[in-house]
Amino acid sequence: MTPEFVRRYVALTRKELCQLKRNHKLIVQLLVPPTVLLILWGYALNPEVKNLRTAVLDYDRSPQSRELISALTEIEAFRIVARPLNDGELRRSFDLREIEAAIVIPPDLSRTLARGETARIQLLLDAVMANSAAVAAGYLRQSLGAFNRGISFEITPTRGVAGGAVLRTAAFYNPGLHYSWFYLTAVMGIVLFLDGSLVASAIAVREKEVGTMEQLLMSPAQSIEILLAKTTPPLVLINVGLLMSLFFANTLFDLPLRGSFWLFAFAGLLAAWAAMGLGVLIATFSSSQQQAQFLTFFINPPLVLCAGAFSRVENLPDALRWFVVINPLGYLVRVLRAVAIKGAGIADLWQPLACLAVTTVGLYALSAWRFRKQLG
Amino acid sequence: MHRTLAQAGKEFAQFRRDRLTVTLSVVMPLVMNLLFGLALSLDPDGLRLMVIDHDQTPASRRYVDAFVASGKFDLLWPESRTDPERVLSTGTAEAVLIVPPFFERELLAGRAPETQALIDGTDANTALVVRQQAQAVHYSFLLSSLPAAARTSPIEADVRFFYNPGLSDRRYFGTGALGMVLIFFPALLGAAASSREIELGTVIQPFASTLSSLEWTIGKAFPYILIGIGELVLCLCLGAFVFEYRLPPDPTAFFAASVFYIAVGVLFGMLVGYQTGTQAAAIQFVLIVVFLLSLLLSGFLTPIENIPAALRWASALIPARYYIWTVRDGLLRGGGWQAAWPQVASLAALALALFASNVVRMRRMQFRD
Repeated sequence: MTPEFVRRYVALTRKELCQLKRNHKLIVQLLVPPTVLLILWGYALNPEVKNLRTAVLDYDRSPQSRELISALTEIEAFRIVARPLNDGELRRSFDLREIEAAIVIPPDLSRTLARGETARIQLLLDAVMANSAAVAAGYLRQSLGAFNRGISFEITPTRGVAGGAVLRTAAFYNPGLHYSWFYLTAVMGIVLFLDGSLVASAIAVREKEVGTMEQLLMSPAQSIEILLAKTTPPLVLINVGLLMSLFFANTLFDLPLRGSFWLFAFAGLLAAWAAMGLGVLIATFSSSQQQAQFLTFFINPPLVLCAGAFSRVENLPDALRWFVVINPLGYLVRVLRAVAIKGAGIADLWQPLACLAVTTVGLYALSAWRFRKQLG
Repeated sequence: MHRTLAQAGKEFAQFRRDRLTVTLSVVMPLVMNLLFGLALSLDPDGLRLMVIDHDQTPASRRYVDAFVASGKFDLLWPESRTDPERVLSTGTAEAVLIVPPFFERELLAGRAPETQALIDGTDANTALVVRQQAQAVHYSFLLSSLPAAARTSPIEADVRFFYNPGLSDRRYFGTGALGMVLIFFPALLGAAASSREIELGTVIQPFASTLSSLEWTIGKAFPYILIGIGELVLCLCLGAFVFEYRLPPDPTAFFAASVFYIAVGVLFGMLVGYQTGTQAAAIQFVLIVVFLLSLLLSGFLTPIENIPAALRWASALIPARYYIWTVRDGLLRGGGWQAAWPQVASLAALALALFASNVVRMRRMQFRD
């Protein structure tokens, strides 16, 4: 880099800063929505299975059946809302969608147990929301297993001769299973990336629309310098927005920052750069703000959906898996999560960081090339 | 009547001439429906489980085999001297299973040995599923190691999954995706249509003509509602193959809800267009507000009941909430009016309220000066 380059870069950046200073709307637009969205996402998205409306149909009405029911429904996942008297009433509750789960105890439960035989109960679940139904069934089986072991010991205490091993589980990094942490780290990345691409495309298109492109063309600056200078002030603003949302996530949702603050900020900076490269690239393909918006709209949903923002990327169907490899937003979300929640360092994250850097450079090179072609 | 039809005809002609918009409104709904239905899944397949077996005996291998046999885990084997915590922090594995030394000896001696599963808790939902599945495998192992006579448990449960016996996430998100698409594109069309009139200044013409604001609103919204219905039909055809959409025995409730819902989208978009006055701003607003609020507060991704009460009241104003519920009830549970009527009524009320505010808004603009 020659000093000449630096001098021109500083001059151009100063011009952009002047423009930005007068553009209060943009400053607000870049600093407020990240926080608002963060709060919305943190509170609104929660896949936890709790308070499923549950009906209990107990044909047995014995102390044992009541004990079983309380054992099955003591956890927060189930809330008893109906006690129908027969199959017909149960069916009706299901049909009116008043209940999502039902436990049916047969009339001979206590007698079968007394005989030492196996009694069968029925668990009915509305499985439209597949994940909740699977988790609820898991809870019920677990409670039933614990209940069974209680009975087994009463009846045949010698049963545990060959058995009896214990599996201890521990959720690392998030022992309290805060559901929001997963979504908070995602929304930070998403907002940063979308803001970056929108702002950059707006800036580049405006230059075209207003016709100031010719002035830039006549200046001694190179296209890459113009691009760098143009994207510097919003880049800084967007990263301030990211750190603000980290602060709010920490105070409102207890999201920790276990890793290095600088690594977190660095990943944000790198990704913001990639986003701006994408924005400029979009701008070179469109002649008006509106076209740029539409194009952005074509590109953003796949970026967001294939970033592992709502569920792990491995859950994507194979047909979309290739997209993950070239998706800078996916790498960003992965790094932000690992740094904040797991406290991962550069040694753990060099791989996604390198991929992020490669996609960033790729996007920037592509957009600089397209930009130059337009200038020339 | 005649004037309304003329207005609708003009609106449709304008729409047809704009090739880009026509393509967008035919292709994009299908693409979005596919994308939102296919890309989202909460069902963790192929969980990466690293096994550290310190025992290396027939019993410990049988224990590990039980995890393989469950089909839920992809097993990884450690290189020598692997630090389990580092495996989790790099994301190499999502869980680590540790079998202690002397596992077999203690098991046979009846001293319950402790195995350990360390689970990456970053994604709480996945962590919970891993925990449940690991426990289930663990107990099935214990049960299988008992003598045959002792294998039956006192109480067994028959679990029946209604309406979605395959527990397919694709059906759940596929139906929700229909709700996302059918609010978003009608709103975009409505917003573009009304903001264009203001931007180009052609809104003066109806002010000067004998067209009443009621006729104007009907005439303007009607073609876009029809286009929305066309989008619905396209998405239904696609979804019948991809997402197993099955029309309920009595589809009238579903169709009524669809028409009200599309109308809500178009009318809301038109209102946004009047308010913002420029096409770029109107589209931006729809993109952000309609899209995000429908995504977050409609129960599309996670249950509405889990939203804290302070925020839940806001979801009562989100039409997608009522529609997505109705779609799922109709296409997955085969339900009709019996359970869905309050939802359809809410949609109708929202549509009516938006229609009234459109008419009032237009009348006010007309007589402003």
